[in-house]
Amino acid sequence: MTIPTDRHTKAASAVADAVRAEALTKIYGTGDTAVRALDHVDVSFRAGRFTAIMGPSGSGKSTLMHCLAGLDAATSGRVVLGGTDLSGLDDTALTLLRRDRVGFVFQAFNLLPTLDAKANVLLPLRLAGRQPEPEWFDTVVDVLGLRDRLGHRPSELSGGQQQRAAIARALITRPDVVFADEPTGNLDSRSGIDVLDLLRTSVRDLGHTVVMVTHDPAAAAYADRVVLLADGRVAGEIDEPTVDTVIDGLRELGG
Amino acid sequence: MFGITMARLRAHPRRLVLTTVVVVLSVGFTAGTLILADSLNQAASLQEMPDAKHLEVPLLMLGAVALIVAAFVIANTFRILVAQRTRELALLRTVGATRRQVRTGVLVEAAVVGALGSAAGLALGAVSAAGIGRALSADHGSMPLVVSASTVVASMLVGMLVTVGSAVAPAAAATRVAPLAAVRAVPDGVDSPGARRRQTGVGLTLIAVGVAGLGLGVSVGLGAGIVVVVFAAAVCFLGILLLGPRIVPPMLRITGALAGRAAGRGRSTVELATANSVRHPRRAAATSAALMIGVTMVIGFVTVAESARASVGVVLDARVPADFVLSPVEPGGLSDEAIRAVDDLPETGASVELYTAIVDTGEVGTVEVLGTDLQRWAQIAQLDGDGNIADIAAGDVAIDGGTADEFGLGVGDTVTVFGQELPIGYIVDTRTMYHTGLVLAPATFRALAPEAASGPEYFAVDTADGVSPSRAHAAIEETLQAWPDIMLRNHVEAKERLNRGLDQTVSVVVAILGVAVIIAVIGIANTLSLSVHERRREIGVLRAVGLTKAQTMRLLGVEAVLTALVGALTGVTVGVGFAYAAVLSMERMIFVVPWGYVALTFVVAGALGAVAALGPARRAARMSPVVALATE
Repeated sequence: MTIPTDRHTKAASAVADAVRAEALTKIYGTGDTAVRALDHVDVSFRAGRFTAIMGPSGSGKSTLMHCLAGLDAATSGRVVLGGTDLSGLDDTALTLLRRDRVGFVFQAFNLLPTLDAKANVLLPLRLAGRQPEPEWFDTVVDVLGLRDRLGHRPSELSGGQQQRAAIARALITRPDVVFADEPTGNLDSRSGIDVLDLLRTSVRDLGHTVVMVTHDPAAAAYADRVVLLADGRVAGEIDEPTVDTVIDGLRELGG
Repeated sequence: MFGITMARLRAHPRRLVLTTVVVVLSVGFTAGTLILADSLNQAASLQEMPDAKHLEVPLLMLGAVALIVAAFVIANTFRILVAQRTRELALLRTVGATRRQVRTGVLVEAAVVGALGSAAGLALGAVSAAGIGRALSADHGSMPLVVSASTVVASMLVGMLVTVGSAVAPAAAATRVAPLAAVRAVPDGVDSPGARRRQTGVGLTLIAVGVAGLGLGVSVGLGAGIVVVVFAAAVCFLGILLLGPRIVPPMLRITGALAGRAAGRGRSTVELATANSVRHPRRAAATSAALMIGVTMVIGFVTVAESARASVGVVLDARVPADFVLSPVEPGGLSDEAIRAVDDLPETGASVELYTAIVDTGEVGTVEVLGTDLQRWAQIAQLDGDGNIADIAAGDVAIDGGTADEFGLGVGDTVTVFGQELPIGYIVDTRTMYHTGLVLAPATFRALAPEAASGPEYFAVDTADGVSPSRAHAAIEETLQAWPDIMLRNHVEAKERLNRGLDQTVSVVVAILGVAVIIAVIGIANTLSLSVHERRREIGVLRAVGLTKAQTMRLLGVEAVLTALVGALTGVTVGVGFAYAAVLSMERMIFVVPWGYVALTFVVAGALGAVAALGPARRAARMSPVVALATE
């Protein structure tokens, strides 16, 4: 109340940023064995954009994603997702936030083997005890081409089909942000291209926000922007990336 | 291989802790029984303490139930462990471990668990026996604790045999892991279609043979019948166990669907739990079968005991369910004065005189004929039947329904009694009559029967309203001092004594079988704990996409409770079924389903299931989604 101007600017930036990290630090272990996975990272991800996070192994890209998504707690600093500061939330509040406002796409697909594709897609809504909006469900299913696969178990689906079901699961709640962790890592190149196309479609046509961790420059080239990470710090950014600019950017990190 | 096994045991101590506890409990029970029996024997020879040796055999039989349940749990554990280790075993095979070495590895692990568990069980048995011995000593003088070498050897041997024996099949399964089949985890409990058909065939055959045997036992009747019933029940039970993987998953699905409907908003977790519970049919079947065994025994026993209680009038005296019965010490009749004196006491209420004779009738063969006032007799004996008992004419005869059916007689037909044709006026429900034959009015009986001259053979009398049975008993006894040739039977007291005896037996047997139930519940905890370990990635995914900690706990809780309820349901059904056959084979017994115990069984099973889930559920809820996702 005492500094309304400041509050106002923060609120305004929250609208534009789907998620942002402020001075985010994550330290694993203590004493001599302590590892600084994230070191005062300041980074923001605009709503309605497709951003890739890249960096060599151990650069902290997975840790950053886990902290941004409310899966892991940071040691210090804060994460603001859709205007909510995650640092003050307890486990249940974080879980509900993930359920209602975050979508996940994993490298290993991670569909539940006991459920068919449809039940997997609807899982976050079911956990919330909510009914899907029929039109949105149809849109998601049709965009991802899952219509004739809804009754199949994951074991009866190809890798590409499983990953498309996983993307549908991520989109069904209309989340503030979809986090994708190496979504093409377990796929052949054609299915991988499919998945990247779909992620881009979900941003361009459906208005979603996607943050993707990848080590593949070809995958990163599908994004609107690439954030480069090295040794737990932001080491650079590339707007409108191409495969070549991404490879160059990574090479500079190495050198 | 031994070195590798030991290293693995050290690396994952928790995985076998619950299994070891199961061995400890079952061996502890057996060892405790043996030690107690030896000690009591010793005490008997030293100080003339009452010999309790006759308890040893039934106790050891109950101990065998605990061991069988334990074998189920142990076999299940090793099967799960082998399934989870497919990758590791395949790796061992790839680097050159022979089939034999893989098998030996699993068996050595079982042997270590068996040895540790049996030793601890022996100690537990000795401590328990000492405790019980001290409690007994308070009443009967001191009792030495005798731990004989044969007890030690027998307990260790039984523990080792059960544990290693239970691991034989899983060890054989381990050898079938092909070196290159490591890539994908094969779901546990998927048998080849041929093996499945064979199992179903054998199971159905055993059940058919068992049911036929039960029928045979029932038709053999009193005496040998019950022995046939017990053996047939065992055969039937084996069949049901074999069919388990076919029966249990559908039952879990149905129970889960019902629970889901009742859960309202919590429905999604119930649905997920149901899907998880039916994932490994053999695992689910074995886990709930362990509980089913104990519940079958408890409910079967309680049903027979409660049926015996309900049939108490039959057991005591088929014909006289009144509170008190007077009869002459020597064959003959009761004097009229004595009957009047007792009947006139203010402490006595409804009464009736009974004459009996064995009569060769033309129509229904040789039967027992009762001469009594049917209306008063009906009041005391709570007879029931077709038609209004008040309508029966003075000269009419009543007949029990069974005999009437057998000879195709109905109201209006006649029977010849004492050379006189008498019309049938009333048909008594066979179940309430307690005896088969005819009933005549006393006047008719006296007029026709030569036996009636010396007076009625029995005088049955109830306690007056508002008077305690013991006061009535005292009053009658005092009155009868004038007639020392009359015997007084106190049915109230006899029934109470019988009820007390039944109560005691039921509570002792249920308490002992409780050990088997507890072992089964540990089995549920064990299965759940192992599957939490196996499903950590899935739990991580669920946590990531929005399963709260509370929902995670509920998910696993529901899974355990479903398994327990299905185990209880099969156990109750089978137990009541077996008890029904047993009761039928004992003639003149009324069959009663002990609904109170049945309800209690479900409540206890559900509660124990929830308790069993507590540890694994907490562990699952505490897993960080990140850690769970990272595990490969």
